[in-house]
Amino acid sequence: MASPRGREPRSARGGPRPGVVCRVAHDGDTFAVQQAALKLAAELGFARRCAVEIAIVASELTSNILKYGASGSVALDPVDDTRRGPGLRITARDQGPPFVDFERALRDGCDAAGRLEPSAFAGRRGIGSGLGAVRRFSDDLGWSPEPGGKRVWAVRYRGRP
Amino acid sequence: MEDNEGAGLSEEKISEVYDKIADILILLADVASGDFSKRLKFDLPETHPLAALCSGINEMIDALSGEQERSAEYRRELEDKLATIERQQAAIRELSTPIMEVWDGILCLPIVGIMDTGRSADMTDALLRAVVSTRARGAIIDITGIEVMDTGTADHFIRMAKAVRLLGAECVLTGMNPQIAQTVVHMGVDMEGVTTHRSLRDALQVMTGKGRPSVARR
Repeated sequence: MASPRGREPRSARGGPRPGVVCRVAHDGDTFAVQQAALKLAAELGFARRCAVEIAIVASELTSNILKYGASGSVALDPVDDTRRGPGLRITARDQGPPFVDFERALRDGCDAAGRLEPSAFAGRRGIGSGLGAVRRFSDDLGWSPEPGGKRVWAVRYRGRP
Repeated sequence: MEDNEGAGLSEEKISEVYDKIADILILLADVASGDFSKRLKFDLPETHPLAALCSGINEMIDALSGEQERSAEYRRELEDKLATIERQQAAIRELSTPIMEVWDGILCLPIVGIMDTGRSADMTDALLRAVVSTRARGAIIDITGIEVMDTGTADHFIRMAKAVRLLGAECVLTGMNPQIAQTVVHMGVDMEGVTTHRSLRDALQVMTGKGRPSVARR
């Protein structure tokens, strides 16, 4: 199960497949990120269903950048963990404010600032389940503040524990 | 050189130099305002330092005007390309909302690719207009062409279906493949309230009342 402050695996070394970085600034970039995630996941040997789930994780993190951080980037790269084996890491960087309560943001119906009022759903995009989906579809995730923004990462291993 | 005696320059020589400098300044002012057509005229011996300066300035203007033409060309090409991209984007937007009346009073909106906020707003708008203008009693949103359904996409569909229902028409979702069904459930999105049918055919049968009701109906 994913923990909010998981242990981040190191990047796969000497692999033939380098990571991909997608700039995120417009609505249409979500499609590019999804396609890049599907492609890299397939290349890394993930089953089709897992590749789609990875694409959803990448897509949710991209939407969050556009929703809260205005612009940033999403990086997809292969990782290799001594214990859990090969996997794919999705790293989203944005210029948005840090999480007030990450654990809470992961819960459905919440966002980075806390619980969403049901009446607030009508006026905003989404249903507050994006990070919930990210948690369910990844094996490990975490975040860290960065100068002028933050970085959220999620990893999915090929041999899902 | 004969003029090299500094303080020993004659009045005439000095005024000649001043005139040349004035010519150069006028020409440079023209160049600065974007006129590259003029060149300096001089009838000085090749060895004269002013002759070297004048021909140097002429060469510089030649180079600048060539560069200017090239960059104007690039700008035109770029503007052309941007205009093409804009036209194509408009065409894609137009093509991405193909609403057809597949049966008497029943509309179908097939969705291919991705639902982002802009597209979903366009689609909802077009669908609602079509429902009103054709007095449709039902709308079928077919998502066979959707590859990745994230929470945002699911949310767009839920909202679209709600809006259609507010207009007094029925709205169903078809073409959900087993994989998407599984991910939607796993994702934790509640699609309760959105009627789904396995295929367009099933939906049509139910909506026209000419067949068995689909088992997938909620």
